[in-house]
Amino acid sequence: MAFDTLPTPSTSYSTPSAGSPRRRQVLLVVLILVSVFLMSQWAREGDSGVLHRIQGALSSAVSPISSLGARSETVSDAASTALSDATASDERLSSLQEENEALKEQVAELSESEAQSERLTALLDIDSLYNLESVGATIINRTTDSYNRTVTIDKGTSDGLSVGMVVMCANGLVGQILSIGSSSATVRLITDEQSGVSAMLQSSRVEGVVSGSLEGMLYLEYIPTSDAVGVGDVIVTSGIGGVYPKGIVIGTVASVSGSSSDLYHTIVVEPISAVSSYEEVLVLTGSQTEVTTPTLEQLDAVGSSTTTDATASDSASDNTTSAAASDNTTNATTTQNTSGTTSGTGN
Amino acid sequence: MRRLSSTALAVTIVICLLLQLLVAPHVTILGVTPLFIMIPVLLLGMGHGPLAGCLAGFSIGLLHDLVGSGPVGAMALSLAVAGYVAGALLDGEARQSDEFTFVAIPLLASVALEEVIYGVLLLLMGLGASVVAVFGYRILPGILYTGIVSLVGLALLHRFATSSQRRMMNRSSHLH
Repeated sequence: MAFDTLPTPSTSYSTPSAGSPRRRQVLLVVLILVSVFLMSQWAREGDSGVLHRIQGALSSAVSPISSLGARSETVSDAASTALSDATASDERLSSLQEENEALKEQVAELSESEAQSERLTALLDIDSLYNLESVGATIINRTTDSYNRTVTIDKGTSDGLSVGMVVMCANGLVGQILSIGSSSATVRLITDEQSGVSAMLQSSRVEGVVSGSLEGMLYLEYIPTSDAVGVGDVIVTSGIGGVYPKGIVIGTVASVSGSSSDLYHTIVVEPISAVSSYEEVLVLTGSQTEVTTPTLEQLDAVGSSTTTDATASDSASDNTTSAAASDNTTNATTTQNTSGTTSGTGN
Repeated sequence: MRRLSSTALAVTIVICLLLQLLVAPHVTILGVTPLFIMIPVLLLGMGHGPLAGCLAGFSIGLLHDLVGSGPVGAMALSLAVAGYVAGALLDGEARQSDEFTFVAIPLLASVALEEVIYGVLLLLMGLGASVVAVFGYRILPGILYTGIVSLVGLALLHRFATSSQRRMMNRSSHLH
């Protein structure tokens, strides 16, 4: 690759592409106006508008490239191994060492297969636990900017998916399909700042909204201070709005704050599913309005087989266990009886 | 700031787009993702002037908007302004200089402007967070992260371009 430099002008610093100051300013103003027009059009048109469709189509078109990013860690590991092998001298590499390396590779491959098998089994378990109609999908990429918490999955309209469908991982709610192409879809996570899920406390049935935030925390909002909330209380979807089926476990109450003069509690939610730990998800394709809420022990059993690294998940498990001990209302079959809205701003 | 040939520029743009698509999601720190596409915008703005920076910023930003999930036009606008400012802050003499130190202030100013404009635009478009949260959790860390990434990226390109030119000069002196 030749990064050859251009010749330096000897007499003048201006270049043909620089343009006159007036011309440059006019161009800047024009580009700003075009951008503002595009933004207003994007905000007004809704999910079926031209710009949203172009966005969906282009996201779908680049998804094969994006999926390379998901494999980059494996590739970099392989590259470093290859590099260390290449730099070692032949004398030092005996046949036993080679055999050892080959065996190590086999063990690594088998471990990977075992882990994948466990994850897929967990998804099947969650499918039967909640009695869901669903399609399995693999996460192929994650958000590319600081303001959106989204993931891209490898299933799209050709697999029967559509915008608005609910996405779950092995032990809880993940989010909702935001935009879709023929072979991929973008999922807005519940931790996204613009996400809002109508939810309720499982024990007291008090309803609120679970919202994401820029700092990455989940909050349960609009729970009046007159209602008692305890750390470890289980939060499930309320089904209001008809977007999320009623009864899916979202998480547990991690902390409650606020004074008696406040109108609402400030409740931090510990999500039961740490999406960063998962590679496979389920997209709910049926029109279920109710699910059978499993016990937290059941969810814990499913989650513990797949979650290995997340500290947050560990603390969530601790919370859920203590909550389960004090709460005898789990495993209740719930039915939807109301409708309203759940989506956050910009949806 | 050294200028690159059009081929080298094209390669840089493609590499930075790929970095944004493939690498950026995996190097997020505390929710803040670096903006690798800032590098070619700064490169064009500082190397070729405000007009080139502005056009490059708009084009690359629009592409980023279209393959992402945010509002279309927001990144295009913020990068267009950043590219323009990068070119406007670096005067002609500094633009032709071999010294890289001239670049630091326009670079940081452009990155800061881009992050502020993008954050404010999202707030205006209905982002439900408070101004304090946007500045504290996204804009300020974003300036730091993207600033460092851009500085390192431009320094590497500058060094590469300088050594390439030296090689070419040596080759031509041998021929004479």
